[in-house]
Amino acid sequence: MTSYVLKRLLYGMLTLLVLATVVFFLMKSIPGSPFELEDKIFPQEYIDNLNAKYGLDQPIYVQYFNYMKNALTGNFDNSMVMTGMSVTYIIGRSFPASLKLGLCAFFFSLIVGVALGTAGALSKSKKFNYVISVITSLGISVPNFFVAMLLMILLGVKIPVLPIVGLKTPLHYILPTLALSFNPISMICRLTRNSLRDVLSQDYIVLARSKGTSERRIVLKHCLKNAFLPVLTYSGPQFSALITGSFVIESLFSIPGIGYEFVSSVSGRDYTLIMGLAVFLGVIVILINLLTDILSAILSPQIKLEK
Amino acid sequence: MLLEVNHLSTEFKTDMGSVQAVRDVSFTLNSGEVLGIVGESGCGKSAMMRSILGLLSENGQVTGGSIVFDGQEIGRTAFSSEKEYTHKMNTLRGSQIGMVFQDPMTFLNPSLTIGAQIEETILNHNRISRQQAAARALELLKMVGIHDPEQRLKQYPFQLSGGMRQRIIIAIAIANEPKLIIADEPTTALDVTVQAQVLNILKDVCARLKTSIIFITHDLGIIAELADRVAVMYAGKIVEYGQVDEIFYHPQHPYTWGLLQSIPQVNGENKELYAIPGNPPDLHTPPVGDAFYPRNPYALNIDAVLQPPFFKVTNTHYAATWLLDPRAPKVDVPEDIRERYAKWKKHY
Ligand SMILES: Nc1ncnc2c1ncn2[C@@H]1O[C@H](COP(=O)(O)OP(=O)(O)OP(=O)(O)O)[C@@H](O)[C@H]1O
Ligand SMILES: [Mg+2]
Repeated sequence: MTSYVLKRLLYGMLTLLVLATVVFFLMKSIPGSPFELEDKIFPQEYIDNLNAKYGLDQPIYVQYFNYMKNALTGNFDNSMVMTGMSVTYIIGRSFPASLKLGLCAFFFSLIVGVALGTAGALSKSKKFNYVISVITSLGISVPNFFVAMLLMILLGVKIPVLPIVGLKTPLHYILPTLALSFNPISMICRLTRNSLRDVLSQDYIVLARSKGTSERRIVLKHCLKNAFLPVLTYSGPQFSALITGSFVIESLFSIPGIGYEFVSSVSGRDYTLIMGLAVFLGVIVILINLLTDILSAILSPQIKLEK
Repeated sequence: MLLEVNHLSTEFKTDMGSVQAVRDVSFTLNSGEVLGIVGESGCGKSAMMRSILGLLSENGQVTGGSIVFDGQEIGRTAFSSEKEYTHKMNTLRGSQIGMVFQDPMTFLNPSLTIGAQIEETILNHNRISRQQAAARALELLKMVGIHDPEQRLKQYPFQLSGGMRQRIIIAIAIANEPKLIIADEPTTALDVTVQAQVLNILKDVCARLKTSIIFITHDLGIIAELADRVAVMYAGKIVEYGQVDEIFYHPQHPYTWGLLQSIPQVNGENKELYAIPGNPPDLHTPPVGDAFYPRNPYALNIDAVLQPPFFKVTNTHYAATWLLDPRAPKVDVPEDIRERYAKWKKHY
């Protein structure tokens, strides 16, 4: 198990290296620079000075090695656009909002999705399962900004019962959480239902029944653990996606989160901030993937017992 | 009498209509007896046994008949609700009736330890502590000849060979010393070398506990060795039943002849292995007459239109074939079957 974790950790670091490289070259391939924006016209010497200060006048491979060195040591320069603000400061300012909202959305999705999926798999009612299928199909195909706008219009404007700007009070979390959750709830519900149905039709369930095991115990003891694996495999990446912020939802609800920050850093060609955020988000995603793999291993004895 | 099954019918709903897997089957089983059930793949052996325990898959349903076990009616139709039925069955499953399944690779839960899976059946039916159940599980593993049982209890199914897993399944089936064990092709999925060991263990343990067995197989060799009585199944029906000697040396149904002729001969010279020509009928639309009619070299015209009733051969031996009707023409029994008849005569 330990060597398994170490191996995954090594892969994670390699992935991070590749990610940072790809981000660097992608970033460089977008035309424009942090100091040449349409509305801000600076004198040429001023721009040259700034380029020199941030090393942008160096050949591209030198810039690459500098960036990689900074990325790997976690030592990022200040933002190129927001003068005087360090990348760490910007992350510290924007990440908590995204994290809190993401956690709400994730756990809400997981609980509702697993509960609905389990109910669907155990229910013999065709109607109930039909309703679930229709709702989850919608949830999977409708984009979340549409859900968000619908919710805002219905519950924020037409019948103004819930706030739609910012994240000041717990009430503020409800609408963005719902908007973020509809899709993952649908996915988790379907995964749970299908995989639980699949497990229920396995031979070992027949053997468990032949021992006189109660239906309740069959579900709790024999099914859930096995049925949860596909759900876990999906939930890990979904968890990272949710806590790393959604630009669309954060913009719609005016939440100063990291998703919003990331997109504005790209449109502002804020190279240091882009690299910093990319590496930060990359580390989160990789760590959570690792955690997911470890959890899956714990759930399945075959992996757990491998040396 | 331990078990009495009357006019049992079972069907499975499929996309193409319903499959009549078991069609009006009746048989009895005495205490301490071993009943062998033989028949080709798909003839409804498993469906019949699972119907008795209510272990059919979701789309399966018992559509008629009664099942009396140990003096109590346990057919689904005798209960007013599914819940009541399940509750009653759960007191019998694993305690009064144990089941051994065909494929040891898929019938154990991959994510529970061997110990947990054996202890479960013990704890389902006895008010004892987990420690006591664990001690009993250990005893059971020794009983089915597992080496290093303490170690095995902590292991998962994937760490055990097929033969060992089948022993575990036998241990589970006998854990509460049931009156009846239903063994559904317990050796089919095993290596030939392991088959005999597993079979002997099942035989010994059941003899020791005086357990009755219903043994399903398509291996007539095993039946000859193990069974007291035999029922031959074809296309969802029992077509012939009797004492094991009666079925082996004095068979009456052309299907039984075919089965006996297709046993590989150990001593005989390298004869081409015989197989009954053709395929069993599609049970979505069961035939009107004798289901074996299209494959039967001895078929009579009446076989196409009317199902034969059981004709009595002896007090214990019955066969459902029109050949036994007094009006039927005398047929030339195949040579190997005539040899069998001759052996039978010498015997008695
Ligand atoms: N779950 C199911 N759904 C639909 N049809 C089924 C199902 N289970 C069995 N059947 C059908 O019912 C018939 C009897 O099947 P059964 O499994 O009882 O045969 P069997 O005699 O046990 O065969 P085998 O020797 O292969 O185990 C077959 O025609 C089979 O196709
Ligand atoms: Mg079968």
